[in-house]
Amino acid sequence: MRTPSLRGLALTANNGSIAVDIQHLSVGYSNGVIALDDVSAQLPSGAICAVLGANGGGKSTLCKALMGIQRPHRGSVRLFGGAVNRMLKRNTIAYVPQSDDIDWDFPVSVQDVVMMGRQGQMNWLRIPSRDDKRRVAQSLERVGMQAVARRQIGELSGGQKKRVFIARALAQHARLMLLDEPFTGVDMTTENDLLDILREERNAGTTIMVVTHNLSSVPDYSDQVMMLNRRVIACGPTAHTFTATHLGNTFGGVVNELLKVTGAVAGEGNVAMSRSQLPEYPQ
Amino acid sequence: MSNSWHAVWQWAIVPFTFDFMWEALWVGCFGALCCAVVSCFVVSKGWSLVGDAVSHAVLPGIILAWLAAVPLLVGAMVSGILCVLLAGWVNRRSRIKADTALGICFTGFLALGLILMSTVSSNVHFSHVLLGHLLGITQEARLQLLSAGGLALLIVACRFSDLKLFCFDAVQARVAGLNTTVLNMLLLMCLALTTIATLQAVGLVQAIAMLVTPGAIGTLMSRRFVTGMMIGIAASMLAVWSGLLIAFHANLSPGSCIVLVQFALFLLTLIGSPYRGYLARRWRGRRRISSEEGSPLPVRSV
Repeated sequence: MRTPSLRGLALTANNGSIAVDIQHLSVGYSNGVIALDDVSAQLPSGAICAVLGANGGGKSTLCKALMGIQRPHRGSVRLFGGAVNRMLKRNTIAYVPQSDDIDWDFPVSVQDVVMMGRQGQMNWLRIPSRDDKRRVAQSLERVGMQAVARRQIGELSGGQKKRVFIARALAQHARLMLLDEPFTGVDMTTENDLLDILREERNAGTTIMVVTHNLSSVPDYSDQVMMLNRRVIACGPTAHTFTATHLGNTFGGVVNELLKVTGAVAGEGNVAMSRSQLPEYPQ
Repeated sequence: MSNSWHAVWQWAIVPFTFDFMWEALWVGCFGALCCAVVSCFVVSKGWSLVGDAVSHAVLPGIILAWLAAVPLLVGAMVSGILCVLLAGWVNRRSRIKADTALGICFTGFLALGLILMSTVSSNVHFSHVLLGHLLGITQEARLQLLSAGGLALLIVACRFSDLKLFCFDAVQARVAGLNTTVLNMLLLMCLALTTIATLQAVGLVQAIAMLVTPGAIGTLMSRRFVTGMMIGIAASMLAVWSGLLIAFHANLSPGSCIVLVQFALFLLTLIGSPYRGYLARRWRGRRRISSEEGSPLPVRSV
């Protein structure tokens, strides 16, 4: 288990270094679908990176490759300089799943779910220590869910469910936080609260990857953008990368049409977009 | 009053003063305990068909183990796990879906077992393996089922928390640094072991009932994993006790009576569970509608 002082050390050592290093990654499925084709990208540590792409663009596959669930055909993924499987044993990734991937009828309480973030760092019999309990309580408090800690998870609203899984990731205290569609089915208050928490975490040195097809507010929170459409369309600092041309190439004609409708200048492809210019990407 | 108490006593307790009935009761209850514990994991992981596959696929392993004079539980584990691994391999390497692959593989294993059973002549009644034989337990069988069930309980006791996380969210288990391949194997081993533990009680054909129903009852009755498990264990043991009595008084097959009582208990919980039962939901639904009518604000559905 890492102590806060060690964490600070890691932060200074990693400042400006590379958190996620993807080299020539190709992933295909047994039904012949090639989800990722020769993807290479590098994400700096201590930044919030938005991974954008349409449905079927390979975002979920990239997540699976980062967690070592999907084995690549070619290429490699390295996290903080180490191979994925080795880094998983060292509590490198915290993952916030899509709401659809969770069995909400499972008989566990909110508190139990957040405690699952601590599981890899507990003793052999997985008996929570005082430190584990303290971290769980702190995480619940940060997302404002301590009042419902003893509820069964299915009894929560959409926004509350998301908060609980963010709390689990916070409790895990990993170096890289991976969020799959965190803003889907979430109200504005929750979205703003979550963004505040993500910024706090980023400022504390955590690297954050937000995988989403929802473009609104991307320029507000992300430092880096990576656009995927089976291949990498663009990857780099948001100010230079989040442009109409790249968005058009990533999402196809839909965005171009929407840009025209909303009056944004689709022709000036090299100018970074602000939030007011953005269309709502149809879900 | 005292007369009716006496009648109940005569009907429900006195049969167990026979040695064979007492033996059947505790052996059956032990099998029910092991199965109910594992059942909670199986049901919550959505592995009912996997459980079915393992419980049937242990047959060739049991017979080969008997021929080779190896403990039955070793043979059962090897052949049960082999079947599931084969199905997984077929699923990955072809366009065949997982449930189809499982169905094909376990019936193949079962057929192989049945052929082995008919060709190998022995003094062991393999038909008892298929349908259970609760009223004539041999010393050897008792040892087999105690060791198999004990091992399954030990595995669950040591890895309870990890198995629960694996069933709830396998991705999180992996991300937290747990070895999901090992957890997968442990759960499959538990399935094979509990099949052995309940072989005497209900037999191989009906073992899946013991491996699924208690978990389902627990899920319907409780919103806590451990509470659900306790309720499942209690329901399962109640089924063994009353099933045995019905079989004793009506001269029926004890295994089938146990399974049937368990089925009845499941239907009762489905209707009457205070938490997720049909009646409770109807009642709550009506109350919610009436409160929405009284509310001045539109109620947002969750």
